[in-house]
Amino acid sequence: MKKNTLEVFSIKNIVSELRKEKGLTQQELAQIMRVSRQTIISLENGKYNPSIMLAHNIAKMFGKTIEEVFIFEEE
Amino acid sequence: MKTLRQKKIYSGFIFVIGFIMVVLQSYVYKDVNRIMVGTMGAGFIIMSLFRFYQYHRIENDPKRKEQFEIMCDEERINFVANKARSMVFVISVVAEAIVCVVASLIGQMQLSVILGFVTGVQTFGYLICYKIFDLKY
Repeated sequence: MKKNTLEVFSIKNIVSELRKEKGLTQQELAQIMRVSRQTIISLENGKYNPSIMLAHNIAKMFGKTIEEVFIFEEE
Repeated sequence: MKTLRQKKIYSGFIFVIGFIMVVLQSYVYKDVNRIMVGTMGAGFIIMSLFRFYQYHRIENDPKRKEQFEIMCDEERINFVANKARSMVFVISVVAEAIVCVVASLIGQMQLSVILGFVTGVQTFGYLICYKIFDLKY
């Protein structure tokens, strides 16, 4: 019988790679996003998951979708 | 700008409380209470004046003002602050409850009653807020 349960996901992101591609520092990206540099650091290290608004703004800034920037991996 | 203005109003409020305390200590309180109230009031006044000075410096520096506004409204900082507040609240309530029980066991009934009342009000307040947010979200 098929179990009707949600899969558990972990989230990875490629913000660091995209930022470097664009030639931006963490401070510059933070200023564009109107967040602190510490937030960008925590985000890139995977310690902090952004709100949907911030995730959307970051993805839009890099010209990508949220799913392309924030990768959901099944645990 | 709104955040800076709110903080100034809050500091003004603290200044007024401190001022009232300093004035009251001369007329209402005696001995040790007088010193304590006066010192606390002076502390509030000094703290609020220092804050006013900080806000004045921030206002006169556009870059700093922008950074300050970002930091005040930033999601991660709010997330961390809320997490810290809720953890401290839980620890406080538990610690107060433990001290309340210990105080009653060692015969310190006045302390026990006060702490019990405070713990009760905090717990009740939490339940009310939880219900409100549960309905809102």
